[in-house]
Amino acid sequence: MIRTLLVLACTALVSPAFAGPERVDFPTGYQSTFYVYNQVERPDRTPNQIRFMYVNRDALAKATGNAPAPSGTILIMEDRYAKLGPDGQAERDADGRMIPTDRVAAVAVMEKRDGWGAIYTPEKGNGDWEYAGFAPDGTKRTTTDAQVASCFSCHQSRRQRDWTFTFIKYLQDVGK
Amino acid sequence: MRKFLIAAMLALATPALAAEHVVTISGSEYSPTRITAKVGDTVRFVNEDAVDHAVFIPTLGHAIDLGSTKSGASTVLPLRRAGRIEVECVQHGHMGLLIVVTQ
Repeated sequence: MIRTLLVLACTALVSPAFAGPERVDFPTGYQSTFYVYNQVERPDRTPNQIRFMYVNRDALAKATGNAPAPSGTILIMEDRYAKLGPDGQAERDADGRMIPTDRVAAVAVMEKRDGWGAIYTPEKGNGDWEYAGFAPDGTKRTTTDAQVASCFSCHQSRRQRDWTFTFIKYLQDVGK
Repeated sequence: MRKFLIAAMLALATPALAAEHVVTISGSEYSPTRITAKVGDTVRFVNEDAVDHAVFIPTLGHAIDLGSTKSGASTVLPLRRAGRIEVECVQHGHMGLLIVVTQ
């Protein structure tokens, strides 16, 4: 009994208290397992980019547009380069939309787990969401709270949509 | 009579010119808040506020982020597809504009 307690105590002492971007892992294989629910053009980027918005399918199955996203929701914002014509401008399809390439510039992930927001003040926190940024190969680019501070502050403006710019809006638009 | 016929033929042969619709951003509000436009038209957003704004459209099939529009600057949105387009501002979630685009 004492040995068990000692082992538990030692484990608790050596286990790091993960917080901030440390909590969010790169969703390996997301391109084939997640669902692309929107594509957002970025004509202000040079060269032009297209943001692919992904959600994990388990969360999508549970989510509705009139409630916060369920715990376990993972949203991915993948910035891809657009296909450029000889004039350096993005080529467009028959609908006038930019044509994406397979080249990825960056990957940003926001993930929600029950209780994750408890460490933040209401002014800073985004509910139970955490954020992290990655290189296309999965290398984490954000390792400190300061590096994801802009994620928290920018998403504050969408508190009424569970701090998401596109996901809850997508659910509402498709009547889910 | 001949002049009238020539004028009529010219009018028929001249394509409808694309229109530019101007939306001002002032007091962190879009004005007007609803526009009806045609495919090929453009919308110019003029930021008259002292703070930056960013035109953002989450609407499926039309989604676009034009990036930051500085105070005193403007940015242009080409209307390439018909549909109901909901315009927001990245920084100010209460700002809204509806653009109804027809063929």
